Amino acid sequence: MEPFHAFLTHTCGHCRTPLLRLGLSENNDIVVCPVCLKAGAFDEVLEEGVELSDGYDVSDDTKRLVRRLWAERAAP
Amino acid sequence: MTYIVKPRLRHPALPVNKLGFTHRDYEGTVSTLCAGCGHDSISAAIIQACFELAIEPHRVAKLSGIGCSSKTPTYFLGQSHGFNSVHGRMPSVLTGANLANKDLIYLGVSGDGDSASIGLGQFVHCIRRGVNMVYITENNGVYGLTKGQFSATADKGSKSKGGASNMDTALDLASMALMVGASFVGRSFSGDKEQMVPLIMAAMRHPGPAFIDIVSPCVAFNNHAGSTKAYDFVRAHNEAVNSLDIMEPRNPITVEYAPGTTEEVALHDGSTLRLAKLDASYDPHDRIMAMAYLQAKAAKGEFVTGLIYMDRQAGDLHANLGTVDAPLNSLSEKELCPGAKALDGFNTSHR
Repeated sequence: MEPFHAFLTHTCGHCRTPLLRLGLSENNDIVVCPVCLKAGAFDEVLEEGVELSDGYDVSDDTKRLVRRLWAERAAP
Repeated sequence: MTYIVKPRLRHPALPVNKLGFTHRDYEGTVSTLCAGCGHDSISAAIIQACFELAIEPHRVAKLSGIGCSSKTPTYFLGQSHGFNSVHGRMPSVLTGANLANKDLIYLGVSGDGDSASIGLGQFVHCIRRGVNMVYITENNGVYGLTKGQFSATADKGSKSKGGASNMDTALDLASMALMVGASFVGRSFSGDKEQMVPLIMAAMRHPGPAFIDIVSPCVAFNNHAGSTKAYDFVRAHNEAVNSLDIMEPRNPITVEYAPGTTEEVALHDGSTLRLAKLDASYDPHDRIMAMAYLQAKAAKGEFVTGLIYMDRQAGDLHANLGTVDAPLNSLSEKELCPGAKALDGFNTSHR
């Protein structure tokens, strides 16, 4: 089953793309920029001001999912 | 919540209200909700209402519980007093704050999970006691923060995103508010800002417990075919009984309606609420009729919006208790503590 996902009103500080929230498991929501693929933990980024980073651990499967969701959102 | 503040830069030609404030002065921090969330539209309507009423932000206290809806006070009225209470307990915190300082405008923001389940007792007793407040529920029929379980306001037969049917009977918060004595009851839809703004303005001017149930679709979990809280469904089944317009005391009346289709209600601050009746048979001052009307329309699958009920003689908790005119938090220790002799006299009078 596809994990919970929602594009936010909040945008990436680097490229201004709407951030994608992904629920990877219980109590493990991350936010990812679908363009530059920088990521961070949802609570830390949106509530504590932690910057999105390149080094945040995002699996290749998750990256593929992010790219697909972004492509679907952009499609007419 | 969010730490992210909006930039202070703004265009110098932005419209200002009679206090000299722009919309920006009534905003909060950047929303962290999903793009398209109905709650953000409600926040925008609250901002617009406060701007148009030229309310001084420091005169508002906004209180909330837990849930997506209860996060939203961070996104509006950033210069007002705020208190984010525990789940379902906003009404008692608001009651206490109101008792201490009746001079503030109290805005309670809650959701269907917060008010219709864990906080149901608090919701009805706060209204029953007549606390002077505007109580808004941002009603999406699901627990969005915990990923889409049905809430107590989900209609029976409504389908979840995964296809399951809700088998439980829905609670109608507007009907409950009428039953327990709210003196102002409205219902609206987050996709209809023209209806929401004057409804919120009228509620803020109302001198008693004002309740507004706003259906606010959850774009992540409850905006699909089969949901009765989806944008498309609500638009198709919305049955507005009236439209509202607030007129300031000195503003000229510029809109004309056919005779007999409008009613003007004087508000306690001197402004006028003009009601354009879309259903000529509907009387928003008849509580019993309002309750029957909601039930009859609901049985046909229709969703009634607009000003459902307003008591023109509304009072509030302080009038019921006979408190002094001055806010209790402004009284000195001497006034609050009259001494052992007075206490003995009081105790004796009750023996």
